Formats: sequence, C-alpha cells, structure tokens
Amino acid sequence: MIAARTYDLCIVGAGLAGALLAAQATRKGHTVALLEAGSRFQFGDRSRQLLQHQTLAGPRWPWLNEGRDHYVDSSPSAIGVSYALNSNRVKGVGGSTLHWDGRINRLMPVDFASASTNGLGVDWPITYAQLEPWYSLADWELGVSGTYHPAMPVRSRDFPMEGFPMSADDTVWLPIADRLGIEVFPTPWAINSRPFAGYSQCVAFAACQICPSGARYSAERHIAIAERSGLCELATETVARRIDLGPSGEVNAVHATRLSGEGVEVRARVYVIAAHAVESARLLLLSRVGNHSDQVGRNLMEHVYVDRGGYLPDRRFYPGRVGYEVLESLSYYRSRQRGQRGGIKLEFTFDQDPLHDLESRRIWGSRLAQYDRERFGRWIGLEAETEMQPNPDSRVTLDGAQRDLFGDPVPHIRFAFSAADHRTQKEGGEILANLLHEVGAREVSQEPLGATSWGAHHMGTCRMARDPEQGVVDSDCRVHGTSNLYVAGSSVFPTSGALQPSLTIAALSLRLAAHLEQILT
Amino acid sequence: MLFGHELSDADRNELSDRLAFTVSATPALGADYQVLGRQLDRLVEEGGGASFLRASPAQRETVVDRLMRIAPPSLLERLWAHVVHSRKQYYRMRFETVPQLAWLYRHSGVAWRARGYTRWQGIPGDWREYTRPGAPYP
Repeated sequence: MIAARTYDLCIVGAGLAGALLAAQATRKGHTVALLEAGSRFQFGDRSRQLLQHQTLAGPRWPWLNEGRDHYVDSSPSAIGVSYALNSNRVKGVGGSTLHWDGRINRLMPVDFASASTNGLGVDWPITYAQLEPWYSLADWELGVSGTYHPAMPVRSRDFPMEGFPMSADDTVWLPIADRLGIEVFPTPWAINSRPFAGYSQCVAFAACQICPSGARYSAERHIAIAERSGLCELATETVARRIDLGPSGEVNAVHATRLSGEGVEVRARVYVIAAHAVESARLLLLSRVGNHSDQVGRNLMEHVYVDRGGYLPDRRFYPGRVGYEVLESLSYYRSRQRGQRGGIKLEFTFDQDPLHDLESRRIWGSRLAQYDRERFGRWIGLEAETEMQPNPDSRVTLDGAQRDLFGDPVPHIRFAFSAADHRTQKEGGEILANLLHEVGAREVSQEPLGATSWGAHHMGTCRMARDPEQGVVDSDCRVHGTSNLYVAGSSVFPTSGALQPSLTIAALSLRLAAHLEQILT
Repeated sequence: MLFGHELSDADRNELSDRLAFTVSATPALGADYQVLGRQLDRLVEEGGGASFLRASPAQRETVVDRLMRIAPPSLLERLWAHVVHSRKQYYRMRFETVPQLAWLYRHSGVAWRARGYTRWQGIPGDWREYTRPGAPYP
C-alpha cells in the first residue's frame, strides 16, 4: 500500500530496470514506492501455467487486460505488416523478463559509436568503456552463464557461471565455420549453469519462457530483494497516468489509478519512469513532460529476425529436446562498407516441427505421421537478428480517437524501416542462404523479408542525447529540462545494435542507481 | 490410433488426463468435445458406418479429411453462422476445437514418445542431455 508520505524514490514499472533500481536503492537504505500496472504471478503457479499453455494453446502469461492494454497500430501503412504489441510484452511484476528466453549479450563497442564508425544512426553520449563496469556488475546481479570468446567485447570480469556447452546439433556447423573462417561460439544465458544467488541450477524443463525451477533469471528476484528490506512498497495493478511537473522543472508527484478505480498519489524526492519503450513514452506524452523538442516517442526500434531454413535428409537433429540451441556468430556483425547496413548477428536453430502449422501443410492422419517420420529432425534453421536504425518516423504517439479504461488516449505505434534497414534484412537473408547452401541444405526457405519475426525488443522513444534538441534524457538518463525525473530501460537506447537488449538495460539501470545514490545520500 | 500411431495404455491415460485438465480449467470445452464427438459420429454414419469409435482406420481417415477440408467461412457464411447455432458450432469445431486438440497432442508426451524421445518440455532432468545425440525415430 502506497503511503501518504514522501518516498526517496518513486519508480514506475516493476520490470528489469525498475526491479534493479528498487533493489539497489533499498540496499542503501532508501525508501521506494514501486508502481506496476500489471499483476503479480505466484511462482508456485508456474507448472500449472505451463500445463495450461501446453493443453489450451493459450498465452504463457495471461496478463492482458483489454481495457488497460489496448493500442492502435498503423505499422501496416509503413512496413506492410502489423505489430502484435501485446504478444511482445508482459505487464506484471517482473515485466518482460517473465517470458524471455534468457539469451543475453552486451552491445558491441561499435554500437555506442554507430555514426562515427559505421556512418549510420547516432553515437551514444557514453562509450562502451564507460558502461563496461556496469555490464560486469549486471552479469553478476542477473547471474549470467557464459564462456568468453575473443569475438565478444572485452570485459573486466569473468562470467559468474561457466557457459552452456554446444548442443550435439550445433556441431554440424563447426566444419562449415572453420572452412569459411566464421567465428561461432555458445551464447551467454541468464540461466544458472550451477546453483547461483539462492536459485537452483537449470534442471532442463525446456520451458524457459515460464521456467518452473527459477533457474532462469526473472526481475522478480530483485523485487524480492527490495521487498525483503521492508523499505519498498509495491503497488500492483496501479497505472501511472500523469507526472505532475512544477514550473521549476521539479516533479511534485506521480498520479496513478488502481484497476479498482481508486486514485493514488505518490510523492518522492526522485522519480524514475521504467515502463518499457511504449508506455514510458506514453506517460511522458500524457503528462506533457520532456517533449519540448518533439523527441518523445520517436525512434521506436525493434530487432527484425530474418529466418531461413532447409532440409537435410542425411542428417539427424534432435529439435525441441531438453536443452538449448546455443550457437551464435558475430562474424557478419558489421558490413565492410561503411554506411551500407546495420548489424547482423547469426543464431543457429533446429526447431521446425512438422506437427506445427497443419493448416498450411494440409495433411493429417497417417500421411502426417509419414511426413513427420521423414521430416522431423532433418530441418536446419538459421536466424539473423538485424539492427533497426533510429528513425524519427518510427514512433509512439497518443491516439486521437481511442481511449483506455481510464479515459486516457491509448498508445499509437507505427514502425517504419529506413533504406538501410531493408539492406540489412536483405543481406541477412543472403548470408543465411549462403550458409545453408554450404551445409548442403535442400529446399531452402524464402520467407518474405521485412518483419518476418520480431525480437520483442522495444527500444528508443526516450533516447539519450547530450543535446536536448536531439533526445529526451541526458547521459545520466535525467529528462532534459527537469531536475528529478529519470527514464530507465531500453527506451533510452539511441541505437539498437543487433544484440538482445536486456543486459544493456540492466547495466544502464545499475549505472543510474549509482547516480541516484549520490543524489539521495 | 492417433496421427498414425497406435496408442499404448500410457498414451491413452496421459491424453485422458490432459483432456480432463482442459475441461477443469475451461468447463465449456467439455460441451465442445461432446459436440465434436457427435459431429464425427454423424460423418461416419453418413458414410454407412456405426460410429467414429467403431470405424476402421480408413473410415476415420476419410472422416478427418472431410472435417479438415472445411474452408474458412466467407463473410456471408459468418453472418449466417451468427444466426444459426449449428453452423456456428460447425465452424467452431473445425477452427477452434480441432486446432486446440492438435496443439494438446503436439505438446504431450504421446507425440514425443512416438518420435523416440524420453523427455520433453515440462519434464525436468539432466540438462547436459542435449549435448549428446538422441535416440532415432522408432
């Protein structure tokens, strides 16, 4: 229950960024009010959640509230496909770390200097070297299992846990990689390869997006640290709706409403908005805060995955088996030609299931059984995670017509690709097709390019920039023009790179926590 | 016999348990399964058989094929189905109930055992198993 007093820190959003900030603040003895629009899922319910998903084909995380979470999407007018926002996020205590796989990477040093090194995008106002100590701390806070490879960015501290080894299937790529001079290595995971931080080692439920064992990191771990301190008040199903900013640039309060309709006012010395790229931008827009240069909501980014696969009748793989497809490659990360395209990371998969998507194959019964016998485990897949450039026309705005259950304008999202994005996706597809040819795959798939699948990584919208005309927050993540309002999470990313964003979210949050500590002490 | 595989007692028990779970979680599904059963029986009867349960594998394949070839309804048919309950059920069986049952099967141990697997999603064990080759398709 949020009390009628002044907290040291008010955080909006109990996902990865909010949880780390709350834990770090309470460890230093500060009081925290933490507002979360979604519910709390009980850990003990996960086996039942998994069974429900496996039998009823429903969502793994039943978090959706249509009245609260409605949105408008006009992406089809820009990129030809719609964006299923609510399939690519979770509102709840833990946020999107509830449903992630746990694949976790640092951005590359060049990602922080994209404009000056690659001639695309913008440079961050901070460098990889400045963020590196926070990446290392984040590895240990979240619990990352990894094995260092020279293709990875340099690091000052080893991974807290040894990495997961390659799968039996992954080894098919080793001679190909050797012949082509490509570096491949097992990806780091935020999954325990041994008992860590009071949580068990992985016991291979092979259901990472729910993880009944708790071996895969979820931000609930840091929420628990904050709550155990007795200094953190967590209000669930409480939607922040307005930031009350005074004329001096100081925030006086955050106004929220519980789903029950009860109003909540939170007063604090410092406020952090950590509500993911769409909702953080929406809250600033609803509050008319931080948007003096019309930057709030712009540069919405995602990672487009380009998929290719092929049939290898003479090989036998073991898809869907307990364990991981762990192999990835950064050998094609940057183009040889400056300004040509964005980053490309390769991921190696084997997961096509002939029993999936019966509708398109239109076979069933004994014919399907025969098809499964011939095809199952003989499919090899590749994915290219591609960088999307910051683009002011790719954005979140407030919808002029539709309202949520509180009467506020719903978010209106519109993804838009640049010419460089199209080139990145096209080259990603070509790289994958060439590799599949090298391995001898037949019937190489040719899905249309452009948003064939997404990473569920929302970035941008409140980007970090030294110049207030070019961004929403400064290099400390403080909203330009304000004295005590900050934004945390991937919404502050100036560029997206082509690597999963969670570790960068965590590193930036830990860096922000240290900055706030100086203010609060 | 299901998806071309002969079911063992263990398979039947597991699928029964999973169906019972879905009905306990979503009681309306119990009625849907009964409607689907009657729809299958009627299709068998139209072909001169007694019931789906007593039909030969070939008769069953024919019935399933007929059921699965129902095309998605046009706008006019959707409007008609909105008014006529039996048409609404007809489409719901094909486009909701059958896909849900196929999903249930695909995620069950029955489907994975048929492929030679000894463990599958939701069954914990040795996480290093994936580093070794598995068993061949039986």
